[in-house]
Amino acid sequence: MKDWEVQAALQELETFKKPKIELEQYATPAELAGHFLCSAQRTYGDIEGKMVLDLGCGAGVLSVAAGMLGADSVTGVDVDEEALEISRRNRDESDLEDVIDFVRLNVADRGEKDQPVLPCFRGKFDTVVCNPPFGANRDRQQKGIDLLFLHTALNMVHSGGAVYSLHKSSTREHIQSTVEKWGATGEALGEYSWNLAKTYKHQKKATKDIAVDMWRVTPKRAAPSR
Amino acid sequence: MKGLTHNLLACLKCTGYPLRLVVKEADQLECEFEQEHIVRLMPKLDWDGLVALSEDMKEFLDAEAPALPKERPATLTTEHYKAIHHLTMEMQTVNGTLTCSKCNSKFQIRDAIPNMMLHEAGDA
Repeated sequence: MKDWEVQAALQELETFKKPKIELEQYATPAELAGHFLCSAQRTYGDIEGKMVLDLGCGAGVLSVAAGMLGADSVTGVDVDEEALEISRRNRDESDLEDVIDFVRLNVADRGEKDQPVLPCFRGKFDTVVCNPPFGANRDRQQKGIDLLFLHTALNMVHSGGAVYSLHKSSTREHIQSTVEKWGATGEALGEYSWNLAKTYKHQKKATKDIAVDMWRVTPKRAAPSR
Repeated sequence: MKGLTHNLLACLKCTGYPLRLVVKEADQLECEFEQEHIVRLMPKLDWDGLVALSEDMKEFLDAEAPALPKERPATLTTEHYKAIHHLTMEMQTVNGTLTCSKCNSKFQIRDAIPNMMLHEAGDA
């Protein structure tokens, strides 16, 4: 499928009518989601024929994109029941019931042991796609929550797998050094200017531009170049 | 909850596996069998999980679907792949309960979505 075909289809998806501020709910823009995952497939072959996890699936935009691009299966997880209902409708409208299934869980839940992997998920995925909360709401949202999602995502792929995650461009250096500290390899594939229409009552401006980086992170450290 | 998803889930509290399933309502998707797809899936699947699920969903499975042997065979045939396809890709639990045999935590499945929230996990 061509990029624009995927983007046009994603544009039709249902989005949040009553987004919850504490969960930082925004549907991933169609253009961004389409571009991100089409690149993932075209450049790296990371979607078609793969077992994909959408960590924090929200309205299900990335899940639907992965399904359209030929993923073998997509598991969408989210903490919010209403978001999962929207995801489910988007999946069904896109005729992807064969491919996409959902689980309700909290990425921050750690069970009896404190570990960077979701203890309820055995086995490993080929690819994780993720539009994490950015921790933008300070006291409302856990600080560093986007890195919590990224760390979790990295532990959910097998050693040959890849994580595709979105993070604010302002955090680029911090993410690069953190990824290296984890013994992983990260590359910011490109930047996207996300125009957020006024979503929450407290926002003063009608729209807000936020620059995000599209990251590809793999579990192993890159071999040193000779 | 598709059969594939069941195979991936362990107890959130104690990582006990596999979770036992009591089905209140099941559904079956019509999904075309593609052997290469199931071959790709095999390294990611746990055989004991497949056997447990096929036992727990016995009354809902196609009568003609071959039963999975308790021990994973050295070589898998097309018949095996078809049975696994039916179980993981077609069978779906719409309402039911997942129970951990180790710690007895229970996770509810409603409208085909399993609830793996820690503070909502119940006990016996």
